[in-house]
Amino acid sequence: MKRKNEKTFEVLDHTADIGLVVYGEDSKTLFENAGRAFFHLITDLRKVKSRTERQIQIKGESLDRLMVDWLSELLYFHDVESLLFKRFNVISIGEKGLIAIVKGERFQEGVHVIKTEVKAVTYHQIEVGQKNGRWRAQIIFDL
Amino acid sequence: MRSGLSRTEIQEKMRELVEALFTNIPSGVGSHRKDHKLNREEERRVLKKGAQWAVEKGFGSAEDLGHIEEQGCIEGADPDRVSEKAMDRGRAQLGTLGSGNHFVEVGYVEEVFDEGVARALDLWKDQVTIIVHTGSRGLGHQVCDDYIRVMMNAARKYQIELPDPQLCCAPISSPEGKEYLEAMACAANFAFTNRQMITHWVRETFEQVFRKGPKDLKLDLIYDVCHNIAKIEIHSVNGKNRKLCIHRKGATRAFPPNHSDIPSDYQSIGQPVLIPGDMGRCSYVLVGTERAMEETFGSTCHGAGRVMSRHQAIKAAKGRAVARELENKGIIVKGASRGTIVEEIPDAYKDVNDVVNVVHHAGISRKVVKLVPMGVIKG
Repeated sequence: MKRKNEKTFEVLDHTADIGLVVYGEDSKTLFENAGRAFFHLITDLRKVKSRTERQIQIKGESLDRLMVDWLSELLYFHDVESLLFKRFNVISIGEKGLIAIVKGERFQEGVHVIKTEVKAVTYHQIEVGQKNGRWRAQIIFDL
Repeated sequence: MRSGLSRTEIQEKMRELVEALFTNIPSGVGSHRKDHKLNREEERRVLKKGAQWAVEKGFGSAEDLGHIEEQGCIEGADPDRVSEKAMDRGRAQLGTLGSGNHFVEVGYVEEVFDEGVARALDLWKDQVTIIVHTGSRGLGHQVCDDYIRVMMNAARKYQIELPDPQLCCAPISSPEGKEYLEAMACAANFAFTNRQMITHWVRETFEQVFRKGPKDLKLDLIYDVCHNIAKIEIHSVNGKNRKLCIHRKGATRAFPPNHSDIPSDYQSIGQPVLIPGDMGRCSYVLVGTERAMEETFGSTCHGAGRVMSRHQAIKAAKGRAVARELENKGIIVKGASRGTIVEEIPDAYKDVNDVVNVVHHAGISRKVVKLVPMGVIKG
């Protein structure tokens, strides 16, 4: 359960790019919050409805790679199918990888806005791990 | 591109021109031309042949190719080195501008610094010019993503210590290095093709708005050159010619007069260098110099560079009508969303005049003309 008034993410200021610091009480919520924070950068999520879903499956070697691959996979669907996602359900996450169901809808001119176009998810200064009993991830995006 | 038009001939129709460019050149998320569809086989040909593919398909002319770096096709491109995912992203985005700092800008020559070179480039005061800035889109980013994974393993294999995982790499002569260069050439060829298609649509739009033919409009390509690319080139190091891999990031090529890699009609003046500024100030055309060969491996800067983060820019623009501010300066801007315009406000960038003066005085490229924007479209 999300505690009241607790931030799930913060936007990191970076001159040429943009970054996110995401929090979660376990790795599952951390990855879900990262997905939401990512699309918060891209669009106004209040205008997005959960009309369609995609299953996402990623093999992972480390949490760092898993995080970059997870967000890159979401970006792939955004690029190729113009999808905007707002609901993220990580069904399983572990050393072998991640399985998730994500929901959202196709971008529609006049209904949705694009706040930022993200070109790529990078490994630059990537940090994913536990700190003081809380999960935390830092990710920098190439814009 | 230069044109046969002068500023006063288009001023009255700028609004219409910007609207028409925005309609004809897909810019925002998911937008694409209804008359253009690409299948997988065709896309492989794009990656192999670059701008030559575009010309064969009727986008522009063979004359354009002579004014594109490497004639719009980097050799050694192997589509088998490009993942399905990258191919998917490419198919969805060939012939699109994209957002961020990508744009098409219509402007005019406000000042001529070097009469002789300007004449050789057929550039004159008040002449209308067009700059197209876009690249390999999602295909290039996916190639990068895919090969970062390869390079992370390679760095371990070759015991290269990394200060940051994003800097992962492999020796150029290793299998990983060679494969990457074959994939990168595909991305570069995609970018040449993308720009060639947009160049063609810019010409069509001018014909449509001004009801004039190509002979009157004279929209000729001055030069098309990459930035953010690695090239295999010969350079003199300690008096010896050596074959090197030159990686230009945040930099662009600036070859001097008489260099074998520049078009024959530019042999006496050097390679044209384009340095775009922000949409409210100006842009420059320069030429490459011998000094650049000696000091910077034939390179110069490729833009003004940001001083404000995107978030700072958004904050700075809060409550301001950015499009109106620019309109008051005589610049009509149209973007797919307010967000992408606001992020690119002129205050977010260094003053390109200062930046260009630095490279000019350092001698690594020489100012030819200054271009002032009249209309800009952004993704």
